Amino acid sequence: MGMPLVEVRDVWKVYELGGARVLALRGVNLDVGEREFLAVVGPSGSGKSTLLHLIGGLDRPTRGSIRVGGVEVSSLRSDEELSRYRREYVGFVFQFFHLIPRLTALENVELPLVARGVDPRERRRRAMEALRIVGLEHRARHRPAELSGGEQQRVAIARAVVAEPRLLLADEPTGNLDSANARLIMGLFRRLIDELGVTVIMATHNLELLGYCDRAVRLVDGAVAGVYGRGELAKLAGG
Amino acid sequence: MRAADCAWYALRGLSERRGRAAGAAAGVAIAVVALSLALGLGAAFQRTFAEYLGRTLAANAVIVTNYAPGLTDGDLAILGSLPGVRACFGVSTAQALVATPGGHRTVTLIAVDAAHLPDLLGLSDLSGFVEEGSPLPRGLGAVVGSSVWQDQATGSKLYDVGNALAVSVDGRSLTLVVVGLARPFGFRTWISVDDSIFVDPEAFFTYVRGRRVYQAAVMVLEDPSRSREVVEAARALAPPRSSVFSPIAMVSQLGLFVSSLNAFLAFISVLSVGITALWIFDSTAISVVQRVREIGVLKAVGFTSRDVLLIFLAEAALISLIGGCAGLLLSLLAARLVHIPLFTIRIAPAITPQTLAASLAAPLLANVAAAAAPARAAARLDPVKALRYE
Repeated sequence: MGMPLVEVRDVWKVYELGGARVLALRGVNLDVGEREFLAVVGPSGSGKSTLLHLIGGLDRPTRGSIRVGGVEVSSLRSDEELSRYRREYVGFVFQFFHLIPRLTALENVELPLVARGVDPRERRRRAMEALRIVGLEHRARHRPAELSGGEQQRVAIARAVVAEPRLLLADEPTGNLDSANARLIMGLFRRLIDELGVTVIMATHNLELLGYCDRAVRLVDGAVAGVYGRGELAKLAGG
Repeated sequence: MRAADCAWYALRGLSERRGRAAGAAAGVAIAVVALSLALGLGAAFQRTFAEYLGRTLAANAVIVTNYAPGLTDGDLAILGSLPGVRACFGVSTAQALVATPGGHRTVTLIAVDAAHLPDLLGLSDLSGFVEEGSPLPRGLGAVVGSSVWQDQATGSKLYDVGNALAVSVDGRSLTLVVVGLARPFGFRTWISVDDSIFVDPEAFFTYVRGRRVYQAAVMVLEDPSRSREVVEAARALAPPRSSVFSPIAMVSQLGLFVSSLNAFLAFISVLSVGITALWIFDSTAISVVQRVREIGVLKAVGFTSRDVLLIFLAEAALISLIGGCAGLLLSLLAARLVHIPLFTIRIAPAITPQTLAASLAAPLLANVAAAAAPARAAARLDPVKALRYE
């Protein structure tokens, strides 16, 4: 791995939950290289989603440093700074797709470009291109309710990459899909890495998908319990 | 985010809550109609009424009435000598009966010096006073009001210039000669000109009253602003059982009444605007709760809190504009149909561009202000919590 795109250094995250302090992350250290496909695995509540939210600038660490592409994300304070970072560096893919039901697939994909103030004609062109990449340009005028789960997730991926981010954060992207669609989505991530040069960090429960990844990090109780290279992924998948 | 995109997204947001948005827009339309009609009616009322009163009441006069025993020439001389009074003249009146095709009708005989007739009628000269003949009563020659010489139902002439006109006053008969036919005039001070017959005072005192007494004295003022002072002096000096009143004071009293009515109409309108604003607040608050996850998604893809705030404010503004435009069209239609009859005039709402602008701006501002609190709550949502919201 050359120069890392993502550098996580001694990151802690503490939540106040009903008056009790919950340690979501405990001193996590992690580097993710350019064009890498990293899986973050671990049981529920191990801190996978929290780590993705911190890297994506949706939340701020209690302690520690996160750098993405030279930007010190953990020091971004204002809503304006964090929003700009999310617009320019990150694309999100969620387990439940989170498409806006009243908008068509094309309009959903356009949203990050709307946030950037891109001209409508240019925005439409780029959104159609993103839909073409995920193989859904023929479904551009359909609303989410008219699409299958796999198609909805592909629209969500098109939305995540339309603004050409350097980093794609996928939180259980196949958690709501059957195995055939899960494999389709994994293949799509690999293509995005190869064709668009994005870096993908995916939180998942599904160890069967690790074969598509370059590396995996296992979190247990908010701490890194192991890092597995390509050769060790099969061992991790096997338990 | 560009303003056009904000409007586009807000419009799509409204399309999802079509029912509530349409209800709120209808509420805004009603508020705009109420507000524009209230403002328009208030303005029309103020203007038309002031014009009417100015025309029918002598603004530069103070009037002393004394029906029994009446005012004498001595009383007129005293009243005419008060400071601020330019002239003072007496008006004598008597109820009389005249023959009509259907029987008899009551008219008022009015005797006033020809030199003061323009002052009594509020005219600079008498050239436009009559339709035909002379405006000045002389000897037994009389100028008759329009509803006396003309049949009100058919418009045909009952009397012409040169005709004899038999009147009966207190059982005594008197034959006058018609010398002038007055144009339709309406009211002037306490006199219904159309139902009157103007006669020469000398003939009146000789054949009707038998002595020189006046039922009213009209004091013409040098400066209408001194009317209060003149009224007080006249009250002190007028004989017992006299009434003193100033038309200009009546105008200002009526103006006060009209202003109060206007304020009441405005209050009702403000109430309707307030109810609409509450509706918008409720509708926006419900919408925010229903769209928490969407707000999380918007923030995740790069919308700022300010963008989210503006989207919800734009939704409120769009409802106001849609309802407001519908309300303005209805107001213009209503202004053509609504007329309030008052005395001899009809008052229609005066819908001016200023009225329209105020009627549109008030609910727009109120609704955007009402949406501000839920919109701010939406903008402040933590994106992580919003994305996890069930």
